[in-house]
Amino acid sequence: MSATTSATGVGAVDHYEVRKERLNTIIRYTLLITMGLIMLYPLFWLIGASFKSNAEIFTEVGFWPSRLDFTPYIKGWKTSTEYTFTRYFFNSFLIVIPRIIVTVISCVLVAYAFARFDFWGKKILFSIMVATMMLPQIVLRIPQYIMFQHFDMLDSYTPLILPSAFATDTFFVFMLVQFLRGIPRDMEEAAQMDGCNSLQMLWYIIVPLLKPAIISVIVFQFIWTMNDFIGPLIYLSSVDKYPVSLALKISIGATEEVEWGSVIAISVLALLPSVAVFFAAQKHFVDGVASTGLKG
Amino acid sequence: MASVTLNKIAKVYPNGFKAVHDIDFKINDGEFVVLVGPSGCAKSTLLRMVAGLESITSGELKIGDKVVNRAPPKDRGAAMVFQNYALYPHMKVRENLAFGLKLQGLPKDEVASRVLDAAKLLEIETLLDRFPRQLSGGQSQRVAVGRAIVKKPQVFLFDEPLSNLDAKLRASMRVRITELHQQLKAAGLPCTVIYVTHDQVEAMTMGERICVLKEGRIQQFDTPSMLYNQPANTFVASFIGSPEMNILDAHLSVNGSDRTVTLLGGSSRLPETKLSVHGTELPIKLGLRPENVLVNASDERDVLWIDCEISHIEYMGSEVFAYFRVGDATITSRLPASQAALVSALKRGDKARIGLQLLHSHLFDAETGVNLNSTH
Repeated sequence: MSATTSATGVGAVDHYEVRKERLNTIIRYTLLITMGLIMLYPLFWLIGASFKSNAEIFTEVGFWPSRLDFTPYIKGWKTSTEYTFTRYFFNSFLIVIPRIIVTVISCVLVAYAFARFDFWGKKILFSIMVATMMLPQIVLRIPQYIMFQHFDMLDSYTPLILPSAFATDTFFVFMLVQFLRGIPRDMEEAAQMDGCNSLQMLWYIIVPLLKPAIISVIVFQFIWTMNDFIGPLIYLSSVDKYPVSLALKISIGATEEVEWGSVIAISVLALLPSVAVFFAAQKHFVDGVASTGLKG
Repeated sequence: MASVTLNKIAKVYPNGFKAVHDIDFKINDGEFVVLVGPSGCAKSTLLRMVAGLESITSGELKIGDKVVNRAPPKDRGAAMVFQNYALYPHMKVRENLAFGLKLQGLPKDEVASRVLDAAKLLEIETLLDRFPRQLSGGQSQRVAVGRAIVKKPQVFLFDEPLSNLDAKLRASMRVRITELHQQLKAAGLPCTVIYVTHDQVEAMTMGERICVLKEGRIQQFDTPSMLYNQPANTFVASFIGSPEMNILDAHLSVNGSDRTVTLLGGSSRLPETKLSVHGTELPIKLGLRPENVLVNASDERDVLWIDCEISHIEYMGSEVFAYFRVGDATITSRLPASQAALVSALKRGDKARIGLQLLHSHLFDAETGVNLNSTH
């Protein structure tokens, strides 16, 4: 008899605990979802507004468009210039892809040297490199512009790509060095016993181990270069070489009355590559960020 | 296959710390040598110097007839098994085994057949298409050994390869590695092995010869039985053997051929052995293995009987370790299970009588700890 009583007693407590736990979960998720929606609202508004006419954008509060009209997209894509956005997207990729390639190669090489080799002045060089991270990019614009002017490289993509080939994106070097420091050296010693030289070691052992960090570098560099406005603005003067970020700007200023619907529609399209790259790399990217202790 | 010769090998770190002090020894072709010592005795450093992963400050290292002080690891003909296996995580087992051979530029079919042979020998054929993360500790260990075997090296280097395994697996891997060495020898492919461990049981069971190290210096380099029966000094005496040898403060009086030791309030004549002692009265350290300490037993000859208190008892199954206290000293006795009844009824603090079989004692210099037996 006493055994039965105690058994139901225990059951009652469990039931109460389960209900409490469930209620907690519901509250937690409701709060999180609400916060998420608030933060995403501007994005929803942007997408909604891309289907609206100017009048509707400035009069309606809600983001839901009254009709699903794709004409802003078509108009925006055509632009008021002689080129369509196909050209501008193509231009953007002409900058982004080579820049990513040279960034990854140069940063991995420099990070490998800093993390794994002993050489004279290593500590000082590393602190100088980290110090340049604090330097605002804008300070470098004028000397860099003059330099590229002397090299006769203005109005080409070279000034936008070439600096990255010398591991000047110190933030990436720093991130890779930190990641490499976290990888135990045993595997490299085993590879050394197996007969690897320094470059074979880099290619066969280090690069595969660095993969998550390299993917983070690719994603960051893709998004940052895609969104870069100042760089192309300074170095590029012919419209046929403009990337998306600049082309968006001229579609605002070129005509007397701005078709906001078209501008917004193209903004939405301009977001797509970055979002696509982020989601494609998400799994590895998050790995890399987590293990370098870096916030995304 | 090849011998390994170390001639006055020393290692000084950039901060001035001397880790290895002029080590001299020769490992014969096909021999299984164990380097053993407590942490920080530079045994791993020494192994890594042979491997080429650590630079040599001075001295001469020869593998075979070649001086290899400055040769890169791959040109030394050595293969190494690491403590945490160091398998390449992004390669399958097959690729892990083949990696070194591919770098050597061997033809594909030769690589494949060598990998398969090694896999058969180690019974890891079924694991060839797995990634290292899908292997258990023992399997990873075997793959790591396989990676060394495929290269058919002149010298195998093992750096505490079993210390990450559980006790049972460690015991079976121990047998396996020893068997492998015998097997290769029988097949006409004798291989020289240098094996580093901090575990004296591993050292005693695996090594044909053992090099006991302390603070970068060789204490004794000998066969297991010599280390056990004729330790060169108190360090070797207490390091080798489990439980540890009892080392007691004693006093030796020499009068012609008569030798008397006084210890723990009793004294006894020592049987005649050759001792290299100077003077007639001197303090010494007396070492006695736990199996030479009798408990409550009868009237054996050459035994010094001492009254003491029991401290505690450890049951090991086939035997019993009993710990006694005499004044400040603790004496360990190792009894076969058949005699467990002698101590099992005793509680902490109970009186007991132990007999020291001085016939089997080792005498050491009180200051230097060197064995006074003249064979050393």
